Order: sequence, then structure tokens, then C-alpha cells
Amino acid sequence: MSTATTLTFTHFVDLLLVRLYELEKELGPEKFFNLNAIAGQLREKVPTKWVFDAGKVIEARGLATCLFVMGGRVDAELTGEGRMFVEQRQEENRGIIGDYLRDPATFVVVSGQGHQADVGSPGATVSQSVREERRPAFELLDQVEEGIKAEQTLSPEEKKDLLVDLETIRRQLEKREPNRHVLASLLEPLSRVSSLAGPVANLITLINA
Amino acid sequence: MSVLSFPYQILHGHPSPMPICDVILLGPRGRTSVRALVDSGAVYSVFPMKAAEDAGIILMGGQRMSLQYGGSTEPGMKVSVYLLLSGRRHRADVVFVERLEFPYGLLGRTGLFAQYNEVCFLERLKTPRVEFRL
Repeated sequence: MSTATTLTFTHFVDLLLVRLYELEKELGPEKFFNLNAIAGQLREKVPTKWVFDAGKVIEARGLATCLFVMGGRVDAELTGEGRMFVEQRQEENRGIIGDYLRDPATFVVVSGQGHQADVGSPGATVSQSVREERRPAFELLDQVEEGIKAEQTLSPEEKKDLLVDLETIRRQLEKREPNRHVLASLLEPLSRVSSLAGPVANLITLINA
Repeated sequence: MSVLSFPYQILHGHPSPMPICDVILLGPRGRTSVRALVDSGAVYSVFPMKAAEDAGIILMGGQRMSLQYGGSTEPGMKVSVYLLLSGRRHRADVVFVERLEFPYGLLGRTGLFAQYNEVCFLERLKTPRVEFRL
């Protein structure tokens, strides 16, 4: 799904960091928090892939330890560097972190307990279903399905075949451990359709994570 | 037994998952990530020259060599460098080439495989993986 947003990627990353900091203060350290859930609380919706990209950036900069789960779920725990990063911006009261602290409601939709975000940790019980965990991947599959249906260079038979392949990919991703041999062989014909190349490449990135 | 384990990756346009891992090349200017195929048939690792440039590795003092690679013969410079594989440091000979034939480099045997008791390709698993076993 393409999502128009005025929020820059840099601001998005900063907002994730300040929310991680707050959650850690609220719920305690040594916990991993679900970045997808945090992103879902933002007023402005961002492209699904940004969560994965943000996790990679945050980890590369040593600001958090991230766990990338197949299907697009990213859990993160702030490092000392990450805490210092947020605290420095809080003290200087600048950037989007400063704006956020002045008026959190501008950036975050708070409902019920509000600051609760899904807590995850390696080996901890994961309450979400596999489907929910891999929601970004399933959204991409929906996008690919729409793309197949709209593609004019494919015959009805070719479309039917690809839609059956797509359904098999869905079934695989509903399993706790999908078979990568099966996924690779089914994704290859899809990647040959040029209009589907983008979402298929993004899907592969999520599966490989 | 300590094991470095890398699940096979799916590549865009490839019908089979492949034993590809992210290797960090260490240099005076910093670290650069290189996607590389674990290739037990390759004597040396093969990386793009751009990676050496990004990491600040000088190739001038290296050994010029021709490399049979990807169906053609590529000129390259062999240099001994430090690599990080899953956080573990290795001294390995890498041949840097101007142009990679594939969208990934190669992780060859020299300087790497000999540091492990076994390098296993576990192909029949649902999530196939390559393991470097100490």
C-alpha cells in the first residue's frame, strides 16, 4: 500500500526513538518493544517498509538492538547510546523530539492505556497471531494481488496461475516456519512481471529478515 | 560447539534460496557491508572495488591477478583484509574486482573456512542455512 506522508523518514526515526525511551521508562528496561505497533500509534501513517528501514538505521547507528522477524515485524530495545541520543535532544529541546515533548498528542494517537505497546522479547510469549506478526508481508501480498489483476500484459490464464501461486505464498506465510524453497520458486515468476517488481522485492526483503 | 548460522536468502528473480550472508569489511575509514555468497568452490573471496574504496582500503599495494569468475576472466587486486562475520573477525585474502558479475560478492575458502572445523550447507531444511562450526 502506498502511503502519502508529510513526516520525513528522519522525523519518523526520531519519533520511534523517543517513544521507545518513554515505553522503557514506563514498562522497565530489558524489554523489546514492537516498532510496528509504535508506528501504528502515530497520527501520520507511514509506508509499511519504513519500520523495517528504521530498524536497520537505528541498529546500524548503535541506538537500539533490533530483532527482525520474518514478515516485517521489528522489535527494538534502546542501547545506552539510544538513551543518550533522546536525552540530549530532550535537554536541548530541539528537533521533532522537542516538538513531540511539547505536545505529544500532535504526533501520537493515545487510546485506553495509551502508552502501551506490544512488548516482545526473544523467547517471550508472542500474543499476536502469525498473521498479525507478518501483517506488512500480507499487505504486500494484497498489493501484488491487485497488481496481477490490473496487469494488462498478462493473459487470463497467466493471471490465474499467478493468483494461485500467490495464494500458496499466503498459506506458507501463515505457517510458523514457511518453506523458503517453496517461497523462492513461487516468487521467481512474480518477479518477472515488471509492474510487480517493487512489491515483490519488498516482500523478499521482509521474508529474508 | 559454537556455530555461526546464516539462513539462506531469497534473491529477486532466483528460483532457489541461496547461502548469502552480510559480511562487514573493516578498513581505516570505517566498515562497509557486502552481501556475499558462501562459495566452497571459490579459493578467494571476491568483493567489489567500491567496497574497498568505501572502507578506505588501499588496493595499490595488492597483488594483481586475473580471476576466473562468472563465466569470464576479470582483473582484480588481491589484498589481505579484516572481515567481520556475525561479529567474529577474520583475516582473509579478498580479490577486489571493478565489476561484480552477480548482485553479490563471493565468500571463498582462503582465510575463512580453515578457521572452522566444519562449514555445512543444510539444504534440506525448510529454512536452509549455512553453518560455520567451531
